[in-house]
Amino acid sequence: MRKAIAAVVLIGTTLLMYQTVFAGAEEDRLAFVKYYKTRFPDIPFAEYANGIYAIDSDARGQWLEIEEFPPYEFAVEQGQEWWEAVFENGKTLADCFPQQLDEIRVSYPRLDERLGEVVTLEMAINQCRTANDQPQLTYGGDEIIDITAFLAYQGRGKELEVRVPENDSRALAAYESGKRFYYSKRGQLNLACADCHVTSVGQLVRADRLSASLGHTTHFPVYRSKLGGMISLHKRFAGCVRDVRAKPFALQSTEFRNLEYFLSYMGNGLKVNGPGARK
Amino acid sequence: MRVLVSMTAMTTVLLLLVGCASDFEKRYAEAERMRMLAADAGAEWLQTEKLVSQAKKAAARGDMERASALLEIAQFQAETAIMQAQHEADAWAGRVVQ
Repeated sequence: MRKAIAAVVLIGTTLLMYQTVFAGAEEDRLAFVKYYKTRFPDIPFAEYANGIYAIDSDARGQWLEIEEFPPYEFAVEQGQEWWEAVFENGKTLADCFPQQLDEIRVSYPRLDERLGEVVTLEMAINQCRTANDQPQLTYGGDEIIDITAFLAYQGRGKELEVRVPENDSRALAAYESGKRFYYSKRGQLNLACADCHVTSVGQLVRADRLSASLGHTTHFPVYRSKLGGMISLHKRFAGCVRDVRAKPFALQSTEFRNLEYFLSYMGNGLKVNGPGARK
Repeated sequence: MRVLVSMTAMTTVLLLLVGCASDFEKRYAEAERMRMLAADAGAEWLQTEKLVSQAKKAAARGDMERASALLEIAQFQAETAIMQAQHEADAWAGRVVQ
Protein backbone atom coordinates (compact mmCIF):
# COMPACT_ATOMS: atom_id res chain seq x y z
CA MET A 1 0.00 0.00 0.00
CA ARG A 2 2.80 2.36 0.96
CA LYS A 3 4.55 1.62 -2.32
CA ALA A 4 1.36 2.40 -4.26
CA ILE A 5 0.93 5.74 -2.45
CA ALA A 6 4.58 6.62 -3.02
CA ALA A 7 4.25 5.76 -6.71
CA VAL A 8 1.12 7.92 -7.06
CA VAL A 9 2.80 10.84 -5.27
CA LEU A 10 5.90 10.44 -7.44
CA ILE A 11 3.89 10.36 -10.67
CA GLY A 12 1.81 13.32 -9.52
CA THR A 13 4.87 15.36 -8.64
CA THR A 14 6.53 14.49 -11.93
CA LEU A 15 3.43 15.50 -13.88
CA LEU A 16 3.17 18.75 -11.94
CA MET A 17 6.82 19.56 -12.63
CA TYR A 18 6.37 18.66 -16.28
CA GLN A 19 3.34 20.91 -16.49
CA THR A 20 5.23 23.77 -14.82
CA VAL A 21 8.24 23.52 -17.10
CA PHE A 22 6.42 22.56 -20.27
CA ALA A 23 3.27 24.60 -19.86
CA GLY A 24 1.44 25.12 -23.10
CA ALA A 25 2.41 28.07 -25.25
CA GLU A 26 -0.96 29.73 -24.82
CA GLU A 27 -0.76 29.31 -21.06
CA ASP A 28 2.67 30.97 -21.17
CA ARG A 29 1.36 33.83 -23.27
CA LEU A 30 -1.57 34.53 -20.98
CA ALA A 31 0.74 34.56 -17.95
CA PHE A 32 3.10 36.89 -19.82
CA VAL A 33 0.33 39.35 -20.69
CA LYS A 34 -1.02 39.20 -17.16
CA TYR A 35 2.42 39.93 -15.72
CA TYR A 36 2.79 43.17 -17.66
CA LYS A 37 -0.83 44.10 -17.01
CA THR A 38 -0.15 43.79 -13.29
CA ARG A 39 3.12 45.66 -13.58
CA PHE A 40 1.72 48.52 -15.68
CA PRO A 41 -2.05 48.53 -15.08
CA ASP A 42 -2.61 51.79 -16.98
CA ILE A 43 -1.00 50.69 -20.22
CA PRO A 44 -3.44 49.18 -22.75
CA PHE A 45 -2.38 45.88 -24.30
CA ALA A 46 -2.16 47.34 -27.83
CA GLU A 47 0.42 49.91 -26.68
CA TYR A 48 3.08 47.22 -26.17
CA ALA A 49 3.53 47.12 -29.94
CA ASN A 50 5.34 50.44 -29.48
CA GLY A 51 8.10 48.83 -27.44
CA ILE A 52 9.79 51.04 -24.88
CA TYR A 53 7.61 54.01 -25.90
CA ALA A 54 4.66 52.25 -24.30
CA ILE A 55 6.21 52.74 -20.88
CA ASP A 56 8.69 55.61 -21.26
CA SER A 57 6.60 58.75 -21.61
CA ASP A 58 9.64 61.06 -21.85
CA ALA A 59 11.18 59.20 -24.77
CA ARG A 60 7.76 58.78 -26.38
CA GLY A 61 7.51 62.48 -27.21
CA GLN A 62 10.83 62.41 -29.08
CA TRP A 63 9.82 59.23 -30.88
CA LEU A 64 6.54 60.73 -32.07
CA GLU A 65 8.47 63.69 -33.46
CA ILE A 66 10.84 61.34 -35.29
CA GLU A 67 7.85 59.48 -36.73
CA GLU A 68 6.69 62.69 -38.44
CA PHE A 69 9.59 62.25 -40.89
CA PRO A 70 10.32 58.53 -40.54
CA PRO A 71 13.99 57.70 -41.06
CA TYR A 72 13.06 54.20 -42.32
CA GLU A 73 11.17 55.48 -45.36
CA PHE A 74 14.17 55.08 -47.65
CA ALA A 75 14.49 51.45 -46.58
CA VAL A 76 10.82 50.82 -47.34
CA GLU A 77 11.14 52.40 -50.81
CA GLN A 78 14.34 50.53 -51.57
CA GLY A 79 12.78 47.34 -50.23
CA GLN A 80 9.90 47.67 -52.66
CA GLU A 81 12.36 47.91 -55.54
CA TRP A 82 14.13 44.74 -54.38
CA TRP A 83 10.79 43.02 -53.91
CA GLU A 84 9.68 43.82 -57.43
CA ALA A 85 13.04 43.10 -59.06
CA VAL A 86 12.72 40.45 -61.76
CA PHE A 87 15.02 37.42 -61.61
CA GLU A 88 16.68 36.07 -64.74
CA ASN A 89 13.93 33.47 -65.03
CA GLY A 90 11.29 36.19 -65.16
CA LYS A 91 9.97 35.55 -61.66
CA THR A 92 10.03 37.83 -58.63
CA LEU A 93 10.08 37.28 -54.88
CA ALA A 94 6.31 37.69 -54.85
CA ASP A 95 5.97 34.45 -56.81
CA CYS A 96 7.26 32.48 -53.80
CA PHE A 97 4.69 33.85 -51.37
CA PRO A 98 1.10 32.71 -51.89
CA GLN A 99 -0.22 35.14 -49.26
CA GLN A 100 -1.59 38.61 -49.94
CA LEU A 101 1.16 41.22 -49.65
CA ASP A 102 -0.18 42.55 -46.35
CA GLU A 103 -0.34 39.03 -44.88
CA ILE A 104 3.26 38.01 -45.54
CA ARG A 105 4.84 39.68 -42.50
CA VAL A 106 2.47 38.07 -40.00
CA SER A 107 2.88 34.64 -41.60
CA TYR A 108 6.35 34.42 -40.05
CA PRO A 109 8.00 33.00 -38.04
CA ARG A 110 6.40 29.62 -38.54
CA LEU A 111 7.34 25.97 -38.49
CA ASP A 112 8.27 24.70 -41.92
CA GLU A 113 6.61 21.29 -42.29
CA ARG A 114 9.25 20.01 -44.68
CA LEU A 115 12.33 21.25 -42.84
CA GLY A 116 10.88 20.65 -39.39
CA GLU A 117 12.35 23.90 -38.13
CA VAL A 118 11.36 27.50 -37.63
CA VAL A 119 11.51 29.63 -40.75
CA THR A 120 11.66 33.40 -40.41
CA LEU A 121 10.75 35.95 -43.04
CA GLU A 122 14.42 36.55 -43.84
CA MET A 123 15.01 32.84 -44.27
CA ALA A 124 11.95 32.49 -46.49
CA ILE A 125 13.27 35.28 -48.72
CA ASN A 126 16.57 33.46 -49.11
CA GLN A 127 14.79 30.15 -49.74
CA CYS A 128 12.93 31.90 -52.54
CA ARG A 129 16.15 33.24 -54.03
CA THR A 130 17.75 29.79 -53.91
CA ALA A 131 14.69 28.30 -55.64
CA ASN A 132 15.18 30.88 -58.38
CA ASP A 133 18.93 30.28 -58.79
CA GLN A 134 19.83 33.54 -57.11
CA PRO A 135 22.64 33.88 -54.57
CA GLN A 136 21.52 34.13 -50.96
CA LEU A 137 21.44 37.56 -49.39
CA THR A 138 23.67 38.24 -46.39
CA TYR A 139 21.63 38.31 -43.20
CA GLY A 140 22.02 41.72 -41.66
CA GLY A 141 22.81 43.24 -45.04
CA ASP A 142 20.91 46.21 -46.46
CA GLU A 143 19.02 44.34 -49.19
CA ILE A 144 17.32 41.75 -47.00
CA ILE A 145 16.58 44.29 -44.26
CA ASP A 146 15.05 46.67 -46.79
CA ILE A 147 12.82 43.91 -48.16
CA THR A 148 11.61 43.03 -44.67
CA ALA A 149 11.06 46.74 -43.98
CA PHE A 150 8.82 46.94 -47.05
CA LEU A 151 6.89 43.80 -46.04
CA ALA A 152 6.52 45.02 -42.45
CA TYR A 153 5.18 48.32 -43.76
CA GLN A 154 2.70 46.51 -45.97
CA GLY A 155 1.65 44.35 -43.04
CA ARG A 156 1.01 47.22 -40.64
CA GLY A 157 -2.18 46.78 -38.66
CA LYS A 158 -2.28 43.00 -39.02
CA GLU A 159 -2.18 41.07 -35.77
CA LEU A 160 0.60 38.64 -34.94
CA GLU A 161 -0.86 35.14 -34.96
CA VAL A 162 2.08 32.79 -34.63
CA ARG A 163 1.02 29.17 -34.33
CA VAL A 164 2.66 26.49 -32.21
CA PRO A 165 0.71 23.37 -33.21
CA GLU A 166 0.36 21.21 -30.10
CA ASN A 167 0.33 18.04 -32.20
CA ASP A 168 3.71 18.83 -33.77
CA SER A 169 6.60 17.82 -31.55
CA ARG A 170 9.05 19.79 -33.70
CA ALA A 171 7.10 23.02 -33.21
CA LEU A 172 6.84 22.38 -29.48
CA ALA A 173 10.57 21.64 -29.27
CA ALA A 174 11.42 24.87 -31.14
CA TYR A 175 9.09 26.87 -28.90
CA GLU A 176 10.56 25.30 -25.75
CA SER A 177 14.07 25.97 -27.02
CA GLY A 178 13.25 29.65 -27.55
CA LYS A 179 11.61 29.82 -24.13
CA ARG A 180 14.63 28.19 -22.50
CA PHE A 181 16.95 30.66 -24.23
CA TYR A 182 14.83 33.58 -23.04
CA TYR A 183 14.91 32.52 -19.39
CA SER A 184 18.54 31.25 -19.24
CA LYS A 185 21.26 33.37 -17.73
CA ARG A 186 24.33 33.74 -19.89
CA GLY A 187 27.53 35.70 -20.28
CA GLN A 188 29.92 37.30 -17.85
CA LEU A 189 27.10 39.41 -16.41
CA ASN A 190 25.05 36.26 -15.74
CA LEU A 191 21.82 37.75 -17.06
CA ALA A 192 18.84 36.23 -18.84
CA CYS A 193 16.65 38.15 -21.31
CA ALA A 194 13.95 37.89 -18.65
CA ASP A 195 16.14 39.52 -16.00
CA CYS A 196 16.07 42.79 -17.93
CA HIS A 197 12.78 42.65 -19.81
CA VAL A 198 10.57 40.95 -17.20
CA THR A 199 12.05 41.36 -13.73
CA SER A 200 13.58 44.81 -14.26
CA VAL A 201 11.26 46.11 -16.97
CA GLY A 202 10.86 49.89 -16.88
CA GLN A 203 14.00 50.43 -14.81
CA LEU A 204 16.95 52.46 -15.98
CA VAL A 205 20.14 51.00 -17.40
CA ARG A 206 22.31 54.08 -17.52
CA ALA A 207 20.07 56.56 -19.37
CA ASP A 208 17.75 54.01 -21.02
CA ARG A 209 14.67 52.29 -19.71
CA LEU A 210 14.33 48.55 -20.17
CA SER A 211 11.49 47.65 -22.52
CA ALA A 212 8.84 45.00 -22.06
CA SER A 213 9.25 41.80 -24.06
CA LEU A 214 5.58 41.87 -24.91
CA GLY A 215 5.62 43.31 -28.43
CA HIS A 216 9.37 43.04 -28.91
CA THR A 217 9.01 41.62 -32.40
CA THR A 218 6.20 43.78 -33.82
CA HIS A 219 8.25 46.74 -34.99
CA PHE A 220 11.33 45.18 -36.60
CA PRO A 221 13.34 45.95 -38.62
CA VAL A 222 14.07 49.27 -36.98
CA TYR A 223 16.06 52.36 -37.82
CA ARG A 224 18.49 53.00 -34.97
CA SER A 225 19.52 56.61 -34.67
CA LYS A 226 22.72 55.78 -32.82
CA LEU A 227 23.82 53.50 -35.66
CA GLY A 228 22.42 55.64 -38.45
CA GLY A 229 20.86 52.67 -40.19
CA MET A 230 18.39 49.80 -40.16
CA ILE A 231 18.90 46.67 -38.07
CA SER A 232 17.10 43.34 -38.01
CA LEU A 233 15.58 41.64 -34.98
CA HIS A 234 18.40 39.11 -34.89
CA LYS A 235 20.98 41.87 -34.99
CA ARG A 236 19.26 43.27 -31.90
CA PHE A 237 19.31 39.85 -30.27
CA ALA A 238 23.05 39.67 -30.98
CA GLY A 239 23.48 43.12 -29.43
CA CYS A 240 21.69 42.05 -26.26
CA VAL A 241 23.74 38.86 -25.98
CA ARG A 242 26.92 40.89 -26.44
CA ASP A 243 25.73 43.37 -23.81
CA VAL A 244 25.66 40.62 -21.20
CA ARG A 245 29.15 39.72 -22.42
CA ALA A 246 28.32 36.40 -24.01
CA LYS A 247 29.40 35.41 -27.51
CA PRO A 248 26.44 36.09 -29.83
CA PHE A 249 25.00 33.43 -32.10
CA ALA A 250 24.94 33.95 -35.85
CA LEU A 251 22.05 35.89 -37.38
CA GLN A 252 19.34 33.38 -38.36
CA SER A 253 20.96 30.67 -36.23
CA THR A 254 18.62 28.03 -34.82
CA GLU A 255 18.96 29.65 -31.41
CA PHE A 256 17.84 33.08 -32.59
CA ARG A 257 15.08 31.71 -34.83
CA ASN A 258 13.64 29.75 -31.92
CA LEU A 259 13.90 32.82 -29.70
CA GLU A 260 12.02 34.81 -32.33
CA TYR A 261 9.39 32.06 -32.46
CA PHE A 262 8.89 32.22 -28.68
CA LEU A 263 8.87 36.02 -28.47
CA SER A 264 6.56 36.37 -31.46
CA TYR A 265 4.12 33.93 -29.91
CA MET A 266 4.16 35.98 -26.71
CA GLY A 267 3.15 38.99 -28.82
CA ASN A 268 0.20 37.28 -30.49
CA GLY A 269 -2.73 39.65 -30.79
CA LEU A 270 -0.55 42.75 -31.08
CA LYS A 271 -0.53 44.61 -34.36
CA VAL A 272 2.54 44.72 -36.54
CA ASN A 273 3.77 48.31 -36.78
CA GLY A 274 7.19 47.92 -38.35
CA PRO A 275 9.47 49.22 -39.48
CA GLY A 276 10.17 51.21 -36.36
CA ALA A 277 12.45 54.00 -35.23
CA ARG A 278 14.52 53.68 -32.09
CA LYS A 279 17.28 55.66 -30.39
CA MET B 1 86.44 26.99 -17.16
CA ARG B 2 84.72 30.17 -18.27
CA VAL B 3 83.57 28.47 -21.43
CA LEU B 4 82.18 25.58 -19.42
CA VAL B 5 80.30 27.93 -17.07
CA SER B 6 78.78 29.96 -19.88
CA MET B 7 77.80 26.80 -21.79
CA THR B 8 76.12 25.39 -18.71
CA ALA B 9 74.28 28.66 -18.14
CA MET B 10 73.14 28.81 -21.76
CA THR B 11 71.96 25.22 -21.68
CA THR B 12 70.02 25.88 -18.47
CA VAL B 13 68.35 28.95 -19.98
CA LEU B 14 67.49 27.02 -23.14
CA LEU B 15 66.05 24.12 -21.15
CA LEU B 16 63.99 26.55 -19.09
CA LEU B 17 62.67 28.25 -22.23
CA VAL B 18 61.76 24.93 -23.83
CA GLY B 19 60.08 23.87 -20.60
CA CYS B 20 58.05 27.09 -20.44
CA ALA B 21 57.00 26.77 -24.06
CA SER B 22 56.02 23.16 -23.60
CA ASP B 23 54.06 24.01 -20.45
CA PHE B 24 52.39 26.87 -22.30
CA GLU B 25 51.38 24.61 -25.19
CA LYS B 26 49.73 22.21 -22.76
CA ARG B 27 47.88 25.00 -20.97
CA TYR B 28 46.92 26.60 -24.26
CA ALA B 29 45.46 23.33 -25.55
CA GLU B 30 43.50 22.86 -22.32
CA ALA B 31 42.13 26.44 -22.37
CA GLU B 32 41.12 26.04 -25.99
CA ARG B 33 39.46 22.69 -25.22
CA MET B 34 37.45 24.25 -22.39
CA ARG B 35 36.48 27.20 -24.59
CA MET B 36 35.20 24.81 -27.24
CA LEU B 37 33.19 22.92 -24.62
CA ALA B 38 31.61 26.20 -23.50
CA ALA B 39 30.88 27.06 -27.15
CA ASP B 40 29.29 23.64 -27.74
CA ALA B 41 27.05 24.30 -24.75
CA GLY B 42 26.07 27.65 -26.34
CA ALA B 43 27.52 29.39 -23.31
CA GLU B 44 30.82 30.91 -24.43
CA TRP B 45 31.60 34.31 -23.01
CA LEU B 46 32.39 37.29 -25.19
CA GLN B 47 36.13 37.70 -24.59
CA THR B 48 37.36 34.12 -24.08
CA GLU B 49 38.39 33.44 -27.67
CA LYS B 50 40.17 36.80 -27.85
CA LEU B 51 42.04 36.09 -24.59
CA VAL B 52 43.26 32.72 -25.88
CA SER B 53 44.37 34.32 -29.12
CA GLN B 54 46.16 37.16 -27.32
CA ALA B 55 47.90 34.60 -25.10
CA LYS B 56 49.24 32.78 -28.14
CA LYS B 57 50.50 36.04 -29.64
CA ALA B 58 52.21 36.99 -26.37
CA ALA B 59 53.90 33.58 -26.23
CA ALA B 60 55.04 33.92 -29.84
CA ARG B 61 56.89 37.11 -29.00
CA GLY B 62 58.39 35.52 -25.89
CA ASP B 63 56.32 37.33 -23.29
CA MET B 64 55.52 34.19 -21.31
CA GLU B 65 54.44 36.04 -18.20
CA ARG B 66 51.68 37.88 -20.06
CA ALA B 67 50.78 34.79 -22.06
CA SER B 68 50.35 32.81 -18.86
CA ALA B 69 48.24 35.51 -17.22
CA LEU B 70 45.94 35.75 -20.24
CA LEU B 71 45.54 31.98 -20.44
CA GLU B 72 44.63 31.86 -16.78
CA ILE B 73 41.77 34.32 -17.32
CA ALA B 74 40.60 32.50 -20.46
CA GLN B 75 40.62 29.16 -18.64
CA PHE B 76 38.66 30.64 -15.74
CA GLN B 77 36.11 32.17 -18.11
CA ALA B 78 35.62 28.94 -20.05
CA GLU B 79 35.24 26.84 -16.89
CA THR B 80 32.79 29.31 -15.36
CA ALA B 81 30.76 29.46 -18.56
CA ILE B 82 30.44 25.67 -18.53
CA MET B 83 29.36 25.71 -14.88
CA GLN B 84 26.87 28.44 -15.74
CA ALA B 85 25.40 26.32 -18.55
CA GLN B 86 25.18 23.28 -16.27
CA HIS B 87 23.43 25.31 -13.61
CA GLU B 88 21.03 26.86 -16.12
CA ALA B 89 20.03 23.45 -17.47
CA ASP B 90 17.43 23.37 -14.70
CA ALA B 91 17.49 26.83 -13.13
CA TRP B 92 15.89 28.61 -16.11
CA ALA B 93 12.56 26.94 -15.49
CA GLY B 94 12.27 28.66 -12.12
CA ARG B 95 12.13 32.05 -13.83
CA VAL B 96 9.25 31.35 -16.19
CA VAL B 97 6.43 33.84 -15.67
CA GLN B 98 3.56 31.99 -14.05
